[in-house]
Amino acid sequence: MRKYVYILIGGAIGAVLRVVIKGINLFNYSGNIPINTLIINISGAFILMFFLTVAFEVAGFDANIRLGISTGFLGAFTTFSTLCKETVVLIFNGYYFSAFLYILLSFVLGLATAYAGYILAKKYIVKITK
Amino acid sequence: MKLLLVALGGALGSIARYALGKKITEKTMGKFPAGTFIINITGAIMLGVVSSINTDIYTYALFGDGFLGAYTTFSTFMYEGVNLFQNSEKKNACIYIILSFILGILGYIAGVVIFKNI
Repeated sequence: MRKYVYILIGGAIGAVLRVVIKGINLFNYSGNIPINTLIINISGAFILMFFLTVAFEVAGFDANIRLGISTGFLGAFTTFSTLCKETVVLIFNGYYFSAFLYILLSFVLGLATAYAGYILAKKYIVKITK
Repeated sequence: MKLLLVALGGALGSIARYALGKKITEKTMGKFPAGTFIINITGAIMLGVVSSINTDIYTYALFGDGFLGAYTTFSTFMYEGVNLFQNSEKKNACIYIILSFILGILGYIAGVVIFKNI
């Protein structure tokens, strides 16, 4: 039962942080592609991969804390439904290329940073176990 | 007030994702991450419905940004994608990623259309 409390708290914090970051005007950007959600999703993918790689390697890592941070915080911080909505809004407004680019950037950078998170975590684990 | 509703929706959305994801994974046990897949698509459909209803900012904060924002996830989606590639399940990885985006986008549009025809 305890794990649900951790997921609940992580999820609440993650969702709030997402909405706060979404409301900030980053780099005075005024293009079509919603970079706030893009940055949120990509950074979340990187941190999740890094975190879980470390958490699963370190013996005795608290399972509740792991779930709270991964399933709770990072799961709620990143979002898929908003990504779909923003893409459809771009399509409906005739920005077909931006819509295509947004999807492409999301999964190419998402996969690349997640993989980078894995590599970095492996290096980090070697460092702390030496 | 708005952020409080986001927090409430986010907490419930995360729990729903965890509980449903676990149930689906127990039943399928396959090489395809059906849990996150089904969650993300259904979440996109529901966001289409929520977005086409003329809600006030508080209702949207609770259900749209809060619940559905947290119910669906991008980080786990990418985590599973990379894991499939690493386990030499390249075909499944490509199908998973491409199908998620296509059905997510079509699902959102379907959600909008479904509501308008109720």
